[in-house]
Amino acid sequence: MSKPDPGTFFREMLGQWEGIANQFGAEMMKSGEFARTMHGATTAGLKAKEAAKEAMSRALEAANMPSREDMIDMTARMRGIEARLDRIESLLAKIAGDAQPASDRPRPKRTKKPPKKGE
Amino acid sequence: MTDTAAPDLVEQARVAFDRALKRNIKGLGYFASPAPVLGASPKDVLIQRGTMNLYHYRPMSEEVYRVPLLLVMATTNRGYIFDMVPGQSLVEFLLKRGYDVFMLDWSPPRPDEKDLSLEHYVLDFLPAAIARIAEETGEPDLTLVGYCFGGVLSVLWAALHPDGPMANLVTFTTPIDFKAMEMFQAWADRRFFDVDRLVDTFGCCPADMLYTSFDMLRPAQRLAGQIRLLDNLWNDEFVKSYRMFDRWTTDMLPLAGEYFRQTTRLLMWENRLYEGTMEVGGRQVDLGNITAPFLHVVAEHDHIVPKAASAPLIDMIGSADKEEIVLKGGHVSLVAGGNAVRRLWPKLDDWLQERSL
Repeated sequence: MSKPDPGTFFREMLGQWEGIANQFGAEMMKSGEFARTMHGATTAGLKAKEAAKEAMSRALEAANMPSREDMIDMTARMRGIEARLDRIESLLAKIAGDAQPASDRPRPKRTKKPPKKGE
Repeated sequence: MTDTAAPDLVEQARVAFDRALKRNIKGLGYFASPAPVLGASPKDVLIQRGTMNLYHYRPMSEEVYRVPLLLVMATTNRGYIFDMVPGQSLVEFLLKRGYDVFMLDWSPPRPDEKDLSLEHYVLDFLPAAIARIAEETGEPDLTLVGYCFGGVLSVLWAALHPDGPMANLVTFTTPIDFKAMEMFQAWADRRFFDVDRLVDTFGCCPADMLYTSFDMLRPAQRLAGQIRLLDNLWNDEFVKSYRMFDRWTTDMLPLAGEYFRQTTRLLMWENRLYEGTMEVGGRQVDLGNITAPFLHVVAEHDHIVPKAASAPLIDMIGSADKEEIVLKGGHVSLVAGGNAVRRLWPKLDDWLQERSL
C-alpha cells in the first residue's frame, strides 16, 4: 500500500476547489441580477468616460487643437489614400508585366500524393 | 511494514526538498528570462492592410499537395496559437506533412477602423486573401480552415460563394447556436447590455473588456493556474507550456465597434445564423449552399463554445461528404499543446490528404 503523499493530496484538493469554485461562480454569474449589476457598473463607467470626452473635446476646440475624432478622421483619409496607392502600384506592376510572386525562392512541386497506408 | 515505510518517507522528503530547491532557483530564472518566442515559423507577409494580415509560410518539404490551405484565425485572438514553438506548431506540422500553408491573421483594429463591419470581413478581407493565394499559387481552389469565430467567417463566406474556389472546409470549435452559449447569453442580456453606448463611447470594443469576459467563464482558473505554476516551477516543460498559453490567452485583440455591435445583435441576440435568417451585405446566408467536403471538429469540454453551440452546424451544411468529430479537450487544447499533437493534428492530416490533390 503506497504512503500518503501530502503533495498529491494538495493537488487533488486544488483541482476539486477549482471545479467547485468555477461551477459556483458560473451559476452566480448566469443570473439576471449579476448581469444587471455588471452592466450597471459598466454603464456608469461609460457615462463618466462620455462626460470626460465631451469636456476634453470642448477644451481642445477652445485651444484650436484637433480632437481625437479629428485625428481618427484624418487617419481614415490617409488609409484611403494608402489603399488607392496600393491599387495603383499593383496595377502598374501588372501593366509592366511584373506580377511575380512575393518571393523568388524555388517553389516546391505541387504534385504530392498521400503516403500509402502503413508508411 | 515499518521496514518499508522509512525509506519511502526519506525518498518523499528528498524529492520534496529537491523540488523546493529547484523551485527557488528556477523561480528567479522565470522572472529574469524573456518569454518564449512564438509564431516564429518562417513566413512572407502577402497582405498587410490595417487589421488584416495574410501570411504565407515557407514550405518545409520538396513536394506539396496541390490544394493550398488557408487558416482563418478568430478575430479576438492572435494567430500564433497555430504556430507556438517548434514541435508544438500546427503550421510546422502541416508544412512538414506537405501542405502549402497560409494564414489570415488579425492585428488590433486601429481607431479609424472602428466602422469595419461583418461585411468587411466576409466580403472584403476573406475574398482578398483568397484571390491573393490564387495569384501566389496559381491554383484555382483552396482548403479553408476556420478556428472559433474564424470558422463563422469562413462558413458565412462559403455559403455566399457556393461556386467559389473552395475545395474543402474545416471548422474547429465554431459556434452556430449562440443561444447555447449560456454565460455569454447571460452577460449580453439585452435588458441590461447597452451595446450601442459601449460602441459609441469606445469606438472599438476594448481587448481588456473581452479578456475579462473570457476570464470570468472560469473564475477560479487563473488563481488555480498560478498555484499550479508555483508547484511546478521545478518542471521546465510545465513552465514553458504555461508561459506560452498564458501569453496567448492574455494577448487578446480589441474588436472593431461596428463588427462587435453586429455580432451582438445578429448572433447573440437574434441567433440568426442558427435560425436561418442571417444576411451579410443584404444577401441571405443559406448554409445548405455549402457542398464542398466538410470536417467539423468539436471539443468535448469546451467552456467558451460549448458542444451544444457548435454541434448543430454539421446538419445545416449541405455537403454530401461531411464528418463531425468530437475530441477530448477544451477550446484551446483542441488546437494546440500535447493533446492536439496526439489527437487533432493527425486526424486533420488524414482527412485532408486525399482531398488536397
